[in-house]
Amino acid sequence: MHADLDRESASSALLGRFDVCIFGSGPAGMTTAVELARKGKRVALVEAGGFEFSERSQNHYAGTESGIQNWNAIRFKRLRYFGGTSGHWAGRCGVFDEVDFSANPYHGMTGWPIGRRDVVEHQAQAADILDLGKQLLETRPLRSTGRESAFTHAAVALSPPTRFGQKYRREVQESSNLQLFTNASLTDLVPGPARPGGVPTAIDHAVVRNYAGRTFKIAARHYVLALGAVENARALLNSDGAFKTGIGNQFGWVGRCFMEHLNVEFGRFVVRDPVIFAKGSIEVAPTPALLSAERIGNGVLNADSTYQPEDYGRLKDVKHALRAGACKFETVREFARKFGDFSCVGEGVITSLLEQAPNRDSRVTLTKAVDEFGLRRANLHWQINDADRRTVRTLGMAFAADMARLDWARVKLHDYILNPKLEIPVGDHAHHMGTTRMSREAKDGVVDANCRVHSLDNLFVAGSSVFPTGGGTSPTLTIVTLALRLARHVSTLVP
Amino acid sequence: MTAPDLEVSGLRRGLIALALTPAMGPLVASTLAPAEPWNDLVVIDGWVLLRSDLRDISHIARQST
Repeated sequence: MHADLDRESASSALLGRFDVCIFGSGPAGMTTAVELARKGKRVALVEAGGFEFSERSQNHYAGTESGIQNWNAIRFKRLRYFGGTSGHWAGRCGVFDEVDFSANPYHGMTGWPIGRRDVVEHQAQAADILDLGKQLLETRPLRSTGRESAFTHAAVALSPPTRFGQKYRREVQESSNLQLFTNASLTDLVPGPARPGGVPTAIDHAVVRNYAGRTFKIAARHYVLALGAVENARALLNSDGAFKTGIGNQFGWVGRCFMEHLNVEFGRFVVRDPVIFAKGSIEVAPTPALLSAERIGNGVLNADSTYQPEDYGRLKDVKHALRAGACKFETVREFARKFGDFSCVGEGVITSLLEQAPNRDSRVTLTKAVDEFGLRRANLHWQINDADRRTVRTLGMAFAADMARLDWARVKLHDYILNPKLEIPVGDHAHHMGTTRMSREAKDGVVDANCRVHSLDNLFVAGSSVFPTGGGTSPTLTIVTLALRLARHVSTLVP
Repeated sequence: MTAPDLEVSGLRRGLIALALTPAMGPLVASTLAPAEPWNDLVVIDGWVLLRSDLRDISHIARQST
């Protein structure tokens, strides 16, 4: 069933009473909603946008950025319409290993209160949801060369990629258990009455508005926030009626520990063993032994030797000759690279996706600017710390050493990898994590092992905002896996 | 795809003599503490090489002088 709130004329109406009300229809929210509906629960799925992208909806994501800037994360790297950010994701999937679920991570912050054993039963279903087919999701050793390596081949699978809005639209609209509301922006989570001398322990109802400014209420036994890492924090911080610092924020964790996967270029390489690079590139991950010995973050390193530079235009023959000539002299090559991406045949570039250590000062906060509903907009302050720099430099050097020892390639590392006095240029992977981190104890995070906000009986959070650490691979498979686990847990709470 | 010859394309000739001095040593080990000893490696101008690579380089250096 579907109701477009922009076509609803009633004001201040109660839209219904449900077993579970879920905000956000991206991979986390959609998975939770569909799974609960299939289990026979009455579900409201509340989506702020419509079925198609619109500037008006997307504009609610506008905010400011500080720290590592100019990456347009807050405005453009997430999508505010049916299906959420799955509408433009690339499809890379990986499994969080035991080391990714560590309870005592390398960085000293608290880790996961659950282990891989707690989620593995949902992994196959999550892989089906993401249309991964029979792709293997297990690491395997580098081809045996008679010596140990600090890396394994990375376990990376590719989704088509699954667009959740397209895949589930019909099922959502036809399900008798599931009520979809579109163009319905969450503006407030209203707690129930407090106990004498205490604070509220449950959400009573949610307030949503359409783009005409009309207000509606939705009541449910349980609520699930699945708006993405920035918006989950923003929604909790903006719901500050009964809780002065926002919902779930009594220990000040909401919005903190925003994490990305670091996108760092390590350097270039020349191929020594063309057989190894016959497919163009290799992707490797550090072994648990290396991670443990060095106390560093996990990740995936990509050595891509597919560079076959092409020249275009009427003067392409001249360009080709100039390139070939320049490639014979390293000084000329390096000079050319100062002005752009300049590559020679037979070379490769090493890029990466690296775990970022949680960091209290990397965070989402509210600004004084407000959107058209009066909700304060977000500032995203992203920064890395010394633990991250150590991860980058150690993995870069260990990989270069492995390539030489295996005689697969020789690596020329960038100066900032070798010289700790230089700042490392860091890019992102549009993976927003943290901000409502999971913790065993309330003093260390926002949600518990079941994704329930510590201080409230009936408010849950879905998505990568609950990750206490980001792991060394793309997050979507883990997001969906955790959503399935959450759906099963919530279903047990509803008679 | 043919990989370019490492010794010719990757190293500037001016560094070759320097690379052969003991002082170059494993520079990496002095900045971080890798998991394995780096006694078999040397870092020259950003290139992470095996020490055995240097023998080839010295051979090239002799030939070119």
